[in-house]
Amino acid sequence: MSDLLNFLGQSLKVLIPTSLVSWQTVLWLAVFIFIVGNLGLNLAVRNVVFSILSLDEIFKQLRKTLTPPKPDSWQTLLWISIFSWAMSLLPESFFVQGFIATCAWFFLIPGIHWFMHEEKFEVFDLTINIKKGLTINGIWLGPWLTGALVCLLLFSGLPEARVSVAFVCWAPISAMIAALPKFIAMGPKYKTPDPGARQELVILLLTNLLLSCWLQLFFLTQSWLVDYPSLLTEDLSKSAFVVKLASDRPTSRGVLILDQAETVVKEQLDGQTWSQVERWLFDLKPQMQRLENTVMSQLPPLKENELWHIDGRVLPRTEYQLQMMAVWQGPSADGTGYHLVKPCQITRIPDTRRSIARTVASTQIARVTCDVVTPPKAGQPDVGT
Amino acid sequence: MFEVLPLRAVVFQCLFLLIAIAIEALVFYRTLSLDNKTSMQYAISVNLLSTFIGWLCFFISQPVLPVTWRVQLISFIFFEHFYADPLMLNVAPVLVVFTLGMFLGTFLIKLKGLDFLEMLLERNQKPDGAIAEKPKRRGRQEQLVGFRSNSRIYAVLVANASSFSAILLLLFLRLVEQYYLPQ
Repeated sequence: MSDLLNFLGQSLKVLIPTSLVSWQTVLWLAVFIFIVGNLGLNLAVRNVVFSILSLDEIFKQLRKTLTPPKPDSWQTLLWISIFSWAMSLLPESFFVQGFIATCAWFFLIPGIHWFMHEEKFEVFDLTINIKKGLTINGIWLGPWLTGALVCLLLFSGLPEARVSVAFVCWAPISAMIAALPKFIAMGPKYKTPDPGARQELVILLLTNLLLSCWLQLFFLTQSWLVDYPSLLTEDLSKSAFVVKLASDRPTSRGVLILDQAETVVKEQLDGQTWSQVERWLFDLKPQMQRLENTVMSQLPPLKENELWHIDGRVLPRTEYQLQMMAVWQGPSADGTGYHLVKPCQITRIPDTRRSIARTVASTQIARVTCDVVTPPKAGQPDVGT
Repeated sequence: MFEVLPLRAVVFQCLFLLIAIAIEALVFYRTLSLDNKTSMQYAISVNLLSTFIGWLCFFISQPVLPVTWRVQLISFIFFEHFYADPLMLNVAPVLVVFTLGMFLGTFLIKLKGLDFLEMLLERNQKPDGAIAEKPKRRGRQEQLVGFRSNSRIYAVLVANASSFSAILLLLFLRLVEQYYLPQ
């Protein structure tokens, strides 16, 4: 029983929605609306309601639909496929099981392709013209469904990161399936298509290749957004290539960077003697460079980390107000980058750890407190020389 | 996952393709004296081929670009302008060279594509019979040898230039609309 569920799970897991907004939810929603709309607007609802009262009628109808009327029909292929799949549950070895299951797919896919040619599909006293239902504007969409199934078969073993290969190959494979009838002469034998039909084949193939290029562009922009997540925080309305569908803007990664920097600075300076702190602040530029290296090594490695820099300055005439800045020097909506500022206070407090009886001069230690990060300001900051 | 979709690129490309196909079909009809349907089909095939090969070049060159160039490309695609890199990358000459290369590249692809298409459709036997009657109609300045290929090179050049001009005009109008109308 477990390997039955395993097989079902393997082949159907692609269709399970991964999140609320994904193509699987859209697909299932479309299927649901199609079925409900069909039942609602069709007169078949009356027949269905009546025959629900007599269940054996339903089974008789189903058996009539699914029995092959002649030896070569799609029902035979469907039954062979189900038979092979049932047979695949018997062997113990994983490879033989997989091989027979693949054979089951090899019969299922031509069966479904043949089914879509069906012009008189009779079920529940109702004749549905499947071929016409799948034709939009004179173009029969059957090969694209078959192509999707073939891609599912070929590419279901790929890891999650490479799922784009399946989508990109879907359109050319469907074009080849759609072109297949022209390559078969009577008999069935292979023939090169006659010159009159070749022009259509060329246009069909090129259109599908262009479609797969567009899908590849989608995957490319997705991979860029994974590498450079700060692009999502920007205003993308002026772009000529992309459109942003979500209306919320996530918080900038600069906040994360500055919070991490605050932790590191507190580790380094909190509780140190005042003279050490003053030496640290005197040497600010190399300290900031070292801080940047430390913070970047602690954050998850992304390609955009190279475009973030940490800078700092001490406000003059204060007993140390340190402003740490995360500067973004990459692409931005106005072209100048932006920076976020975290103001910190380094104050002196008397040392309460040493006992009062000691006669050394009372030392003072530092305490670092930081505020929240300010919203991003456009342009690069001026830190002086 | 679906927050950002390249729909605008797809829509713009469809628009440019339709305009280019219409203009090139007209040019083929006039200069190569084909009938309406054939010139439209030739224009469609040749434009789809050049667009596809353009995308292929883009996808092949994109991973091997140096990092600074790739970041500029990302900036162009998401924000429609190049940003001031601290390393002072000079993008304007690169852009000019790229546009020129694109024009010449599409011209060559369209020429070779048209040759290949005619060979595929086995229509290259026709002009042997047509050459005998063509000089009477077209005048005496055309040579008999190489007549067909000269006429085709001229036709593809004019077609390419016309469609590029139309697309540049559209881009210019869009630029004007973006920068001057909001005021």
